[in-house]
Amino acid sequence: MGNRGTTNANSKRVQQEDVPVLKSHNNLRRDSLCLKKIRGSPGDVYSLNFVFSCTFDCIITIQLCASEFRSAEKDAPTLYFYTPPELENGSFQYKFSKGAIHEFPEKAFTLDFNKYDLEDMTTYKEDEYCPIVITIENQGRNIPQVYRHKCLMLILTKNSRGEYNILIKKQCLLFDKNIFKIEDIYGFEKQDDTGDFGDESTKECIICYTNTKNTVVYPCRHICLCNSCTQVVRMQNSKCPICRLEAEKFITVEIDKQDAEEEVNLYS
Amino acid sequence: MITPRIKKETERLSTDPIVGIYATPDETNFRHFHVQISGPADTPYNGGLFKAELFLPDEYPMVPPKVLFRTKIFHPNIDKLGRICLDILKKNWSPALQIRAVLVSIQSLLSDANLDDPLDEEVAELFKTDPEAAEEKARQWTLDYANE
Repeated sequence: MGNRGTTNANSKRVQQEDVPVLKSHNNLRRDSLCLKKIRGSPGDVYSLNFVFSCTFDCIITIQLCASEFRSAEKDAPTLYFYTPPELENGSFQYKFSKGAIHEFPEKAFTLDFNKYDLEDMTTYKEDEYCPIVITIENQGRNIPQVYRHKCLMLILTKNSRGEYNILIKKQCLLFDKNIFKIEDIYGFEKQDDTGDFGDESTKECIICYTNTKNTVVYPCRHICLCNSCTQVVRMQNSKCPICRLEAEKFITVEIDKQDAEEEVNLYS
Repeated sequence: MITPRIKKETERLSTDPIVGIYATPDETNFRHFHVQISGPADTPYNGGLFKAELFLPDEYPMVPPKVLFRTKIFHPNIDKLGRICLDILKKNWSPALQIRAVLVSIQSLLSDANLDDPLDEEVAELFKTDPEAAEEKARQWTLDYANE
């Protein structure tokens, strides 16, 4: 992101930014990502399951205990992961043809927790070390040059009942000559019956109740304002109306209606 | 001109009213609401009906509504002039809040006074040193002033 949008100590005005729209050619449905205990197996063996879609043939790589590297070339930085060779079964590759809603086959990738140190699997160091990395790379002809691949960095958690679960710590998208970090934005959650003004209100700016909201407050990532109300908030106190956190910048995003219904990712 | 926001908030206050609170817009000024709050059960204000006025300044919702009690009330966070000491009406206001949130907060202020941030020091002092006497006085005031 650089320093472009950070607040200048001398001015109360906070910058407003537009972001270009990026298209991701594959999508892993995060709500589908889970660990299932394999019955009848000795010890703690779990299968990693998820559902994904891709617009081109793809290779999915799953790596364990991976170290993160970024190449130093300025014009085309690359993100890759390294698995120590002494780690048996530390890296797997799977090939899939293009299509929507693929189910990653059950038991295709299994984790035996007796083999790994729990500490290694539950520790995450941003830009350095990650317990589980899933990389989805497009293959074949006609792939847009600008798009490269997508990485998901995962971590394990263990609850009080001793069950393991999986969490996404970070998602990256390699697009054109950049590595983008994918972050969620908050404000399109489906509301229940107690929600304000029914369904329409989730798309409305929370200040004017008129325009569609299209501006994300950063760093809290609440999407709650329209363009014109953002101007007013910027002039006034530059605090997020939802959580009152000081805004560093306001980012205008284009949201097409269909996307907004499901999940909206902000590429920044 | 009534703003779409005020229009929607007003409509919703009448279609989906808050239990124990009556808020009706003034016939001539859509920015002015006549409010009646019934004293919550299990408080010395129980049985009373407290009148208040709510005004929406031109800058609303960038600035909070102004609310004044019209009925005398013996409460540590409400003074003799009816001014209310409530964080969301001042520094903790956010444009994401609504008239509704303000009224609900005032109602809960009647149940849970904030003795650490009193507006009327004398009243707060009595609630601290002799809560029984303070509650008795609040009950008497409710009977005397909020019992129409």
